[in-house]
Amino acid sequence: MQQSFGHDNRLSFPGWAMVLAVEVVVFVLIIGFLLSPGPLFLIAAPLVAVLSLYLLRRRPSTLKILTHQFRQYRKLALVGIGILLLATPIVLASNVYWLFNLVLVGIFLTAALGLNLQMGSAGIPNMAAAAYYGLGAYTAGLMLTRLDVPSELTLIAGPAIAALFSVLLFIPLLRTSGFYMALVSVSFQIIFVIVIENLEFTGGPLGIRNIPYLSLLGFQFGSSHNVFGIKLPTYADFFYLACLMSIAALVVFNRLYHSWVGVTLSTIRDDPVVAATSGIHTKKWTLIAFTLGNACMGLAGAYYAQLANYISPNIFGLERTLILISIVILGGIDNVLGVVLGTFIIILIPERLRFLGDYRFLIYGIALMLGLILRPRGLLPFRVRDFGLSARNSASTSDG
Amino acid sequence: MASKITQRRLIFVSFLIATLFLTQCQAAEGEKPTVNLAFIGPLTGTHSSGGQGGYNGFMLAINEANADPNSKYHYEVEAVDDECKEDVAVQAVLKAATNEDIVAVSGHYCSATALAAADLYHQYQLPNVVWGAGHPDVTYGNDYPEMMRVLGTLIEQNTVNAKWTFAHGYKRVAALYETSDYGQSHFDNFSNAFTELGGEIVLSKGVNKDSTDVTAELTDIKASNPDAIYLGSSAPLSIAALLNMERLGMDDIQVVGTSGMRITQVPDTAGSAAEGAICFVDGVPIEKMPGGAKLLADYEAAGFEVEIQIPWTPFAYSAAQLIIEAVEAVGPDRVAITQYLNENTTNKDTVFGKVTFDDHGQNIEAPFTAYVVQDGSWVPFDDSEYATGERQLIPPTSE
Amino acid sequence: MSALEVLAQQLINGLMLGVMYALIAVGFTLYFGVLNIIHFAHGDMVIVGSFAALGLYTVMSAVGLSIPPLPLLIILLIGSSIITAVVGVASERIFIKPVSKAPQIMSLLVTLGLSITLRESIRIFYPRGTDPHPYPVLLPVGYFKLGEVVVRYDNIILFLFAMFMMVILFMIIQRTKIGYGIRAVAQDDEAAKMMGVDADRTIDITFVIGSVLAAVGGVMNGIYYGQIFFATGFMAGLIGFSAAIIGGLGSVYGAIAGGFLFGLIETLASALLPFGSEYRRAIAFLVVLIFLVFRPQGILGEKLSERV
Repeated sequence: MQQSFGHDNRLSFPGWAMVLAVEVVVFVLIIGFLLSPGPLFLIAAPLVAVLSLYLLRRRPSTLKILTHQFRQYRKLALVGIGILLLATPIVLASNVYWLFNLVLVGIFLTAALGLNLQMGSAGIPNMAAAAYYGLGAYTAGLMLTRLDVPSELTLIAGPAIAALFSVLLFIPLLRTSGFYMALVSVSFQIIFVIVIENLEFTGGPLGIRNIPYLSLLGFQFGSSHNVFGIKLPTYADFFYLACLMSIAALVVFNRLYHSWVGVTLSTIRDDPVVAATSGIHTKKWTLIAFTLGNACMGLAGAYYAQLANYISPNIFGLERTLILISIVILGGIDNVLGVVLGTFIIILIPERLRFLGDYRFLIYGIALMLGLILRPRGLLPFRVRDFGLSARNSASTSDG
Repeated sequence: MASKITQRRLIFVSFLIATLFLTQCQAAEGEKPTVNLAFIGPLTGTHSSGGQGGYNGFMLAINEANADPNSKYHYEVEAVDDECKEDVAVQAVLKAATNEDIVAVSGHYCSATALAAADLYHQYQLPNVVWGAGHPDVTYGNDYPEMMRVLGTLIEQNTVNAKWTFAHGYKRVAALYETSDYGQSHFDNFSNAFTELGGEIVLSKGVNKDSTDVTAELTDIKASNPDAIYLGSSAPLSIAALLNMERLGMDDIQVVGTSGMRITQVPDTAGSAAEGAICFVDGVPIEKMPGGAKLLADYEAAGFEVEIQIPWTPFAYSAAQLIIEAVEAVGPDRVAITQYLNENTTNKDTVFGKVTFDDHGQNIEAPFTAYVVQDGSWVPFDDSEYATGERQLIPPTSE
Repeated sequence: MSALEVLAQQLINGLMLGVMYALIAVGFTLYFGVLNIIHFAHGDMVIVGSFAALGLYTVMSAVGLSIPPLPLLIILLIGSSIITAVVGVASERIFIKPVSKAPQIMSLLVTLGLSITLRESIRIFYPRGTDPHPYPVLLPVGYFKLGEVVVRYDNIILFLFAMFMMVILFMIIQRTKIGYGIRAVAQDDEAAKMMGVDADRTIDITFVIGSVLAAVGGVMNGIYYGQIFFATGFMAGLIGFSAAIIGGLGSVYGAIAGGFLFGLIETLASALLPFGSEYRRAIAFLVVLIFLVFRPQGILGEKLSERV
């Protein structure tokens, strides 16, 4: 009865309006959170976000209606998001600092999606994420400053080199599992930082300076542009490209997740024995997931180098790996949308709450632990894939 | 039912948001026009005592200007934390640079952060009078008029150090340095200056800056039988090295170090192992600074949480002095301030002494002072019992 | 110094560094053996132990208690063990046990979070926690020379005491009733429960033992290096973890061997290789990687029952 009631009422509140309203509210909350000078919005925005997440969890029917509407008005929803993203630099024109931070969100999102494929989908605890991110950045930095290679090429070479270096860890990865994999990758991470800090070729501890801004097909990034009479602020170009990059990654990984590849990887993660007996080449798929994930980090790194103009060994240390891992954990392991949420939280909130000063990392550590205990599957937990068999699948939702 | 509640909730939420937006509006007030400046440094983290000491010095000068009825402007300062990390520094500087109200900055304690952000200062034409970062490239590694610095560079510091060391008969020196930008640059400059004088670097060992155990490196150094050990490291590694030396019975070798050692934690933590160690610091002792006594008294009176940091507090104070003078002269305009500071900073009196910027915005009158640990605290070498002959430095072995 | 004397001195350096690593490594082995978890915060627990003893010492000297060094050392060891054990058991009950049955990666991440929390808590809540702190001198500081080789009395005491502690741990696990319980829970906690072993209590006891090890390690670290610093725990923990794996996770003697191996590699790499001092840690971790490829079960570990 409840269900049919809901359907009737929905007509009085048109679905398209609901879709747009949700998008606008989320947009206003984020922008308000970033820009408001006083503490009110600062507290209100996360509060509203948490409250609505909680309510949606408590009332699956509301969630169902919302998802249904988003499915139905898929094109409208996408157009809405597109317009809001296009408008973001204009809204933030006088606050370029936050635009820059949103570019960082895009970069970290791309890298974290790669890590999510490894850690979330395939169950490889890659603690060398920052090293692969750094490999991309150093590839771009060295090519641009030493070899004078066109910028476009670095966006291909960055991920390619990161993928190439994945091969180095293939043998140890194949021969180990679980904690041993963590140790393999953490060793690589530590060795990477020591090597780039001590090689003269990589600029030593000072790293690489004066890396030129990105330029693509003759278009120079990093300055303000006039488009159709609208003056776009600096970093607007970087923002749009970062959006494209992370959305492309989102689409690819979402497709992967819902394809048989995603199922294969999850099977390997959850029970390698079952996977092997079902005829899955577990090793092949582990290596593919590892390489593809690292390539994503390499791409993010190459992009970062040409955004910040400066890279040095400190930026690619273990601490950065921990940040990427937190992003994946907080949002929900093996959940593409969760990674988006996690990136926003981990990158923007500490930046905004700088007045917390010395307590920042303490809160961070406690939040990470509490999050893992209270919500072991993250804020947006793992969903069972919907292959149109939802009724049958609902029995097996409890995933360890 | 469900969607009716959703509908109400949406209305309620949008109402809430609208109210919040309205309450955000704030009215500005004040009689004098306000000028915004920014201070950038490590306000949290491992280097926070240096950063806070600098910030307090900066604020003392600002508060004085604000209390001065003759000043044309009221100064507001935004403190931005760079955590001594390069990527955070890029964000921090961007925060200041893209805020058009901010007309000048005094920034950076760790050289890597200053170098990481140098391009941004230039791009946004934001003048920055560096108060704490000593790497030569901060001013000499670019042609940016925006980058200026009140303290001397590591080149000069190590030239002074090398001359002193050589003149005191230490001709064969072994070096232990950290493989950070700080340690590497110190060691390179010392090594250049020292070999030019005819000295010999008998052995050099670079180690990770977080090391606590350097007994292996020190044993090799001991075996190389040097006259003295050069420590190219900031405080943590210096402390570890001094304590490790004591453990290896290396109390018969003189230690010379860098300005990074001259904080009270070194003699406090290393105790007897630090006795007699020498280091070289920018500026003159605070008692001999023109405004030193007053600064010391004001600092004590203000009751800051962090004790005064020599020389960082006076440097940040003087950076504020220079910036305020420029703003008073040409008004709150980034380009004009940059130009004024570059053209008019000649023989300027500041709290720690004269400042003259060369064509790279580098203060060329930055003096250096040798300090020695005497009875658990740093004492200017010339005022110490080592200078009067009551105590002896460890003599060079090769004599 | 002759080449032989230098080598002898380097061996002493390497053994001392190794024994410090070994003390941490046996903790990892203990936790892994019982709970099948990697306690990533164990390195930071060592620092907690170190600071607990220093805090006690500071309080005691502030109220004017003057105790001769040896009884003082014993009081500090016991006091710091108690404080560290309380922290250890509390963090186990609140944070670690809830995820001990979850996939390995969860406990790894929770203990990573715990590591950040402990480290930051020391920095913020210990007076002047950001600075390095001098450690009291609790052992005789003199030395004798064999040729040019310096042998310190406190080195000998520290070394023997650390070995003694680790052998005691081995005895507890192998020979006592508590040890039987621990090993029973390690193998199959449900079967252990059926046999009348209180699994919860056994886990608590494991954390008490682990925390006491951390406290002793912390105090010894402080005495040996003469200083403590809040941030050093994580890397020490990582090395302890590596040493435990090189030795063979779950084996006490393996962890000791792993610790010594790591310490000697670092020391000898620095002493014997050109640019060794810069790359000493990279070389040590490279050895870890090679071990993982060719002998993943470690020096003394049993052959892994490799699934798939």
